Amino acid sequence: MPILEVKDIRKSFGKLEVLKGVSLSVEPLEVIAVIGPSGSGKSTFLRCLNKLETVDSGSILLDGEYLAENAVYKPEKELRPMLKKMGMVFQQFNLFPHKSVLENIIEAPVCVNGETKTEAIKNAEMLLAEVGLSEKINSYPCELSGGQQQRVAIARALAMKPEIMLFDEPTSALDPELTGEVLKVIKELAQKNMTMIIVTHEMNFAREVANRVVFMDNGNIIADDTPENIFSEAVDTPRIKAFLSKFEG
Amino acid sequence: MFMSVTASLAEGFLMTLKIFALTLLFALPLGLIISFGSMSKITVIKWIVKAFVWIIRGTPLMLQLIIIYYGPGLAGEWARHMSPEQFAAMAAPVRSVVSWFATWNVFDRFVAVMVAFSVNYACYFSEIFRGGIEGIPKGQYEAGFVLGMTKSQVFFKIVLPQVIKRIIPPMSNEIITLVKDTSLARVIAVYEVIWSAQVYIKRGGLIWPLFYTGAFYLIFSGFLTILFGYIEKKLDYYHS
Ligand SMILES: Nc1ncnc2c1ncn2[C@@H]1O[C@H](COP(=O)(O)OP(=O)(O)OP(=O)(O)O)[C@@H](O)[C@H]1O
Ligand SMILES: [Mg+2]
Repeated sequence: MPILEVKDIRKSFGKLEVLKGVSLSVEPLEVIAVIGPSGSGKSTFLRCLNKLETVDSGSILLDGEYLAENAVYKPEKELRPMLKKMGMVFQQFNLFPHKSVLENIIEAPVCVNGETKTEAIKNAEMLLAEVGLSEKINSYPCELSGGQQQRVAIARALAMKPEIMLFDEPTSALDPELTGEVLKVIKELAQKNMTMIIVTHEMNFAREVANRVVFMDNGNIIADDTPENIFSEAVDTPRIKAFLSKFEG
Repeated sequence: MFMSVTASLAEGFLMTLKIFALTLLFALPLGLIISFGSMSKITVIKWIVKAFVWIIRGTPLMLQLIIIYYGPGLAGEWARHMSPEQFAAMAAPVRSVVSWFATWNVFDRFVAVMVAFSVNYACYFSEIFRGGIEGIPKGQYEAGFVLGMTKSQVFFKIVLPQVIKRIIPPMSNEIITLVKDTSLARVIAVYEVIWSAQVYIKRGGLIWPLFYTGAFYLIFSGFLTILFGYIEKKLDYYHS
């Protein structure tokens, strides 16, 4: 059974239709890279999944349960526990600047999941070790580099024990020399069998980590295939060829 | 002489402090509520609140004080002295309002001061809160939301602490202005520190107690300046 099923969702901002009937089914353990030109609706698609944007039509199912059925959302009370199953990492990290690294990570587990503080701290320490930031546990976000902040943001999302992780261009706000450390953490997550949807402009990373690549163009998914097929010379869609050629060299 | 003047000024200054402290107590939470109103998604509420804030901020506190103190009494007088023919000529709903007015009397002086000051300062504070809240990036709300926090958890745990840091400088200016504005209470004969000094002019032609009140204000506002400097420093452990 798919973890996540998206059926024909549409979304407009005013007169601009940004998603024109997008469907996608995500099986457990899949790592899906979403690529495509700027403005094609990748972020909007991701943000529709966890109700940061509401869809105008279509349905979204999580673990076989309707989050939104024909654009009618579950009431807030039932929705919240479902949304928690999806972790999200933003391009701009969005750490809480007034909280230390540890506080950033334990805030939601304690106040949303009702974990005890001891329990949450133990888990946070483990997660920080995994993202290689154990020594920064008491630092504040402003004292960290972008790459370190993004790794904390990943740990913070993981602390809620999500079933699926959504990444919206997790390295686009970083200096080139800092992208590697973040991509490495995401790669390790894939090896630990986390289901993920990753919007990215890092083609090499997509090719290496994803087992499925979705190409979005102008509000539609125009290709959904293995990385081998998408990145092969033989791809016969001119739009994809033109897009990928920009990343060569 | 000096000691007895000090004692009676101190007594007056106690009232000054009382007005100051109670105004903060009421105006800070009320200001927060008003700021929500001025950011409301319901356009009607937003514009009513904005118009109210504009009126309060655009007219002198002294005038508001006088209106609040004398207004209810005047309305009561007017309603009680209305001729029966006049009363009978009015529509039923208007009549019930007028009979309600008839029960009104002059406010207690101190209550009038507290109402005027609290409302006036709440409006100023609301604008400071609004600026602070609107300055928090959308990403902070979104990060809280995707972690499963409720709206109120996001507001009280994520947004408000950051707002407080941002608004400390304008707040401290406004609060120090409040220290000095308390002297306006004397226009409706509330006995505060300046009044207590003027008593000496009337009785024995002594001017210096009036100047001496300045020392009270200076010491208190100096203390507040130091306090806010300390808080600002305390909150300097991060920047966004
Ligand atoms: N909140 C919004 N209000 C109005 N228009 C929006 C909003 N969010 C996105 N858009 C518009 O929707 C279109 C798709 O935006 P989206 O951010 O989903 O693209 P994207 O594929 O993520 O692009 P990029 O690669 O640049 O991040 C763009 O034209 C954008 O200007
Ligand atoms: Mg985007």
